[in-house]
Amino acid sequence: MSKRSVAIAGPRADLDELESRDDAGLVRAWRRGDGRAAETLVRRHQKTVYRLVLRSTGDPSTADDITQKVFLKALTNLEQLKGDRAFQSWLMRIALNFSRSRGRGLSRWLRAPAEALARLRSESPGQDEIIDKSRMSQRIRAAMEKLPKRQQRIVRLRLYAELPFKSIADTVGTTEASAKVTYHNAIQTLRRQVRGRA
Amino acid sequence: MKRPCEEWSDACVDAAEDHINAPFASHLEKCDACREAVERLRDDLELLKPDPSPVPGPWLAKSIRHKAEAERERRPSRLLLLAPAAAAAAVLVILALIASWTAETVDSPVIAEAPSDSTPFPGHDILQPGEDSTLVLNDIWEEDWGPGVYGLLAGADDDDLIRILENIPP
Repeated sequence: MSKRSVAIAGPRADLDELESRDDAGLVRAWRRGDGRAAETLVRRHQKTVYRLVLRSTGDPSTADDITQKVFLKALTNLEQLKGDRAFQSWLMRIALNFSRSRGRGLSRWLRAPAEALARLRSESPGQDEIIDKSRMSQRIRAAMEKLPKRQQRIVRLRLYAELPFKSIADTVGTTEASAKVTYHNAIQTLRRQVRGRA
Repeated sequence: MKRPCEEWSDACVDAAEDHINAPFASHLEKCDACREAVERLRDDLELLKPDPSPVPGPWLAKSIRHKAEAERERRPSRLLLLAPAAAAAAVLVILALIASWTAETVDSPVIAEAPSDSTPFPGHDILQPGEDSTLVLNDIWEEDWGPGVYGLLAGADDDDLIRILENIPP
């Protein structure tokens, strides 16, 4: 009876069944060779990874590319995901490593064209707000790079990836309360650097 | 400007994001410094908040799936080529470590030594007695170690990792 109803419902029902599984179940299915499980994992986590990568690098044209690399590395190196470690934490650690190394080069490039921005401002006065916003983003990104690595990871996971603190704690290997305290300290440091006040 | 109370630092973050809990709410009624900290944090988060992000295209998941499947099909043949060489290299390393350890044990008298404060690897604290090895493993990042060492450490078992970080022979 149940086989018959699945057969009638077709691939859509199979996909719904996959969607209802948790990450660990999907990882097991992908390890057994089910490609749809990999696709479901990507759909489930792609927004978070993409947000982190895009906001870390500030470059939409490379965000797709890096997001693909992050998932490929995670899905094809699952033998390194041991025990009951969560797939999401593993994925976000890879995403942090990938987006940081690319972001460093990019933000150096972003700081360079000050004259170009000044010229644009004089040629198109209406662009002031956009230019100011862009400048502020650059300042924030530059200030972020000066934070200690642990603070930087936590701020990027919260502000850029918009992860809940529980997941952030799992990713960086700490408690939820400690992640919040680190985040609070980091925001205070960022304030001093971006706004120039204590 | 007064500093906020340290024990409420995490609650300040929740409050700045509008998730205030009852104990902290009653603390806020009495504490000017914490109230000020929450307001300042709210203000800062508003400034630091990035623009809304677009979502990745629907093609992305399918594309990654196909690439991952292709990669996985390619992998076994590569593994078959690399496995014997890797196994031989691992055996040689283990034999060399055992040999050097045995030589040290035989040659040198037993001297009680205070635990060293330094680690053979830069930027990482040595494991303290009773410390959870998982914490150490979680503290390994590619940016600290470079891709080669990171790959080795990330793939190591917790026991191996403790040995590597503490420089203990097997």
